[in-house]
Amino acid sequence: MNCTQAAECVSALFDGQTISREAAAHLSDCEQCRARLNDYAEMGAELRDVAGASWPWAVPQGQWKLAEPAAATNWLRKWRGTMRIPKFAFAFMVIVILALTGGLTLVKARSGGNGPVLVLRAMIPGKGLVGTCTGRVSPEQDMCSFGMMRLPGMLTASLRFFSREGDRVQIGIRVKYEPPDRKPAPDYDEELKDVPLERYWLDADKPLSVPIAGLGNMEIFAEFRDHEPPLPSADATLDPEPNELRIWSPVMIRDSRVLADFSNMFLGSSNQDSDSAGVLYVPKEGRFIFALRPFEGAIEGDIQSNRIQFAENGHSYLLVTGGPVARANYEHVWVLHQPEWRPTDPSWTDHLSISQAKLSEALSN
Amino acid sequence: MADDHELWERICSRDANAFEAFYRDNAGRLCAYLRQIVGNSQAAEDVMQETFTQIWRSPNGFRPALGSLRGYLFGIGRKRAAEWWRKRERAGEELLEKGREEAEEGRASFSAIGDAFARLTEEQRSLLWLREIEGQSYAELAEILQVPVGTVKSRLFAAREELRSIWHSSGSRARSKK
Repeated sequence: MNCTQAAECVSALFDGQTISREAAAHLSDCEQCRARLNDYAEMGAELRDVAGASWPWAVPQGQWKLAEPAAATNWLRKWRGTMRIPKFAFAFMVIVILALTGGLTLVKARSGGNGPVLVLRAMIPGKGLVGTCTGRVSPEQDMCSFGMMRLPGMLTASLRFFSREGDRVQIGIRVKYEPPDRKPAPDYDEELKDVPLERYWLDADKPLSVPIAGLGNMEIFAEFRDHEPPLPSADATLDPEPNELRIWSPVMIRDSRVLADFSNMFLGSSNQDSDSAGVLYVPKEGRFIFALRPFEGAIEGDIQSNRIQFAENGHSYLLVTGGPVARANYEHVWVLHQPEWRPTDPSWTDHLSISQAKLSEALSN
Repeated sequence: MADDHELWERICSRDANAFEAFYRDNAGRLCAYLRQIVGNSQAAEDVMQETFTQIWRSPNGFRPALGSLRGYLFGIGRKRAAEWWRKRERAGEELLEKGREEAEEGRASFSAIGDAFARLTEEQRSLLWLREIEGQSYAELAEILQVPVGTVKSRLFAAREELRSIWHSSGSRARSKK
């Protein structure tokens, strides 16, 4: 090794980086390289000296406080004081503008754009909607988890609400993308358990772009409404897709008693096929696997528009959902009740859950 | 790292006292760094204020696993300084030229090593400042500058060699030692 080859190692060594044995051997014997190292040390010391002397000024008052909504009044007061046009002329201009835009304002107000219900929609550009979370929110509240397979690969995400300031909302996001040919964890929380929660602020009128390693960006749109939307996603219709098993916001009743209320929990999508299944977990009762075709161990139930009825061990079950369960060519559904099944994550043992899965994979877990 | 994480959590939850402390601890250092990029104290203060305001309004994107909170702050400050230069460019070549002259004056006035340092490119000044003055690690520099660690290593070497060359050729070194 010569000095030219070792020169970069001198810089690295000066920064405390490890260097190759060969470079170290050269540096120990080379006057020229040692002189370079000494120069670096001398330059660094002098730079630190002049830097220390270059910031004697006092830290200016933090104008960042202007970003607080309350500071707007100060700004308004200052602005009024320096206004260069007659105040009556300005007032007239404001009235004209309000009169002209009044119609637009009324239209917007009718849509319920500033209510207490937060709707978050996650989209992947070029691939469409991947998840929707809806609900009245309170601080530190988990809103929803969702997954999307066959992107190709699998995207898993969960969203948490933290706080709201006017039209801005702070949310926490856990997101993970796994390329194809990897078997996903049995549930979203298991899949995301090692993924750190990252906080973001987003404005209601513009999307938040969240980078996802290996996939690109996920865009999240926030909207405040004065009511919970009747359908789980903006592009959904009341008609189930062919082969779709759709269970929206169901209530499960056993022998005339409510067993579980899955309020605002949805299952169903346009990309289902004959191997798709819906899985509903009820604490202490285990899980119920639903499919539109017979499978081993399952009992046959009936579909009547937005209801599923079946009987098991002398009990009658009724599942009432928020919309039609399947297309009219499906009159029956098959149900497997596994009373001993519990989630792999013990923290979820006491929580209701609803998920869509491949029937073969659900049965093997 | 744990302290950074806790402080960040408090900032994200709109704790004004925590942000004030963060501001007081870092505003002077950030200002000194920005002065090396934008060249004059007033502009550096403006960019510094914009940087803190941006973080306070939209505290997004800090990842404790990838570096320190100060590194994150300096990364945002650097981007805001780049925007400041772009705005000057849009405002016209005349203003830009004036800005460059101001920048030269602002940087070149403080010492012999400062003269040599002022003749480096903006990127080299930025890199050397963050490494030598702020003590940022290679990984943090990679995060701030959005380049791979290997590139940080080679650019640091190039910056040091350039500074050394100017320092030697101008006789600054001899003057400094007197």
